[in-house]
Amino acid sequence: MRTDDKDIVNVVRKNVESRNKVIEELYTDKDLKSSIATFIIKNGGNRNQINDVFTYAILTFIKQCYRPLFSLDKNVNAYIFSIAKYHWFKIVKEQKLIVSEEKRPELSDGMNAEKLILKKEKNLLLKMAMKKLDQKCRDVLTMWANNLKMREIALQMSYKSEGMARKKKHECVKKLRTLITDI
Amino acid sequence: MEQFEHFESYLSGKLSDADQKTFEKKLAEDIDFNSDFEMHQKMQGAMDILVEEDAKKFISSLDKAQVSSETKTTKKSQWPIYIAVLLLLLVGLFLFLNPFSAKEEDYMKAYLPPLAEATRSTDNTSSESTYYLKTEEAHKLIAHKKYEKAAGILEGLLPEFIGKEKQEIEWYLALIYSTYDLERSRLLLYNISTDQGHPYARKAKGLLD
Repeated sequence: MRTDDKDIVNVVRKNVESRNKVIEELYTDKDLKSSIATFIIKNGGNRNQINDVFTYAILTFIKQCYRPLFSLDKNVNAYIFSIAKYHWFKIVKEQKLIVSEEKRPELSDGMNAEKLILKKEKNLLLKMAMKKLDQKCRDVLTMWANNLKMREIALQMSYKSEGMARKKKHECVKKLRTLITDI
Repeated sequence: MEQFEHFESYLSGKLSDADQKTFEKKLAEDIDFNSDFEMHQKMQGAMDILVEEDAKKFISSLDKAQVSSETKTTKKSQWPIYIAVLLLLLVGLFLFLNPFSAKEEDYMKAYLPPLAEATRSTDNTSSESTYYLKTEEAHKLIAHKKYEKAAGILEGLLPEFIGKEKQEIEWYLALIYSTYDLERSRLLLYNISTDQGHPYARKAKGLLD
């Protein structure tokens, strides 16, 4: 049985297994995928782009669930569809921006293009910086980001105690802060 | 309100207009506040990346599981595809050799695919006969390039059939639509291609690609 929309945010936050269950339910929801596919095809997209946008929309929803102030004020499918729609329009806008800049560089909206490039570059730099983190820290921080309790992190990482997991997490957050400070 | 909550309220647009202005003013004037906010955004971005990478791994494991189940289904259901291809070849050959000059009755006899003959009913009012009569009519119209009329016949048949017949009708409709309504054709081909049990799924996928 599919997770109720009212509980879905808490189910995602609960633990990795329940989060994965929600991802699977959404990813295999034919109605959801079909509505997004119809929208993309009607708006000039192709088959390869459907899966990218569909996956992006689900991942964005999952990430939103971990935001402390996030609450779902509508049906989850409608929410994911609106993410997909917004993302698709953004892709189309970026493509148009590139085309218009190639054709008429003197009339292009330089600020928008610059903002887009800067945002992408920042994200890329963040990813590159995070690659410098050792695997143990990545694992601990991934579990922490996935809302796992210290007790569960200690169990997964075979630490002796919850306190040890907390200490390790602090060390890793510190390392991460140092790595991303100059970005 | 804690600083973390304050930042998150601003980022999620939950501050009142006045609070938002105050926040932005502080951001512009207070260097420490500004750098704390920058760090908060970076840390949230980093957490987002970790969650995203982890969730992506799970999604790709779902994709792999789906591909392996599709491969199994394809292997199991290859024989209906061979029969369908053979049927199409026979129909094509018949249309090529007998361009509708024969009497309808003769045409019906010749139209029966040899593989299905043993199981076909002789009762012309049965749904199976209706199917063959109607699809034959549609094929005639296709040969005369009256695509929209042919589509009308097949659309009328669609709700009456399930299984193999329905899937064949869908396939022909998708091809016919491509002559006058490409978008509709692409949508139907997409639906066929995503239906794992559809005998024309791979062909539809090939056409779309």
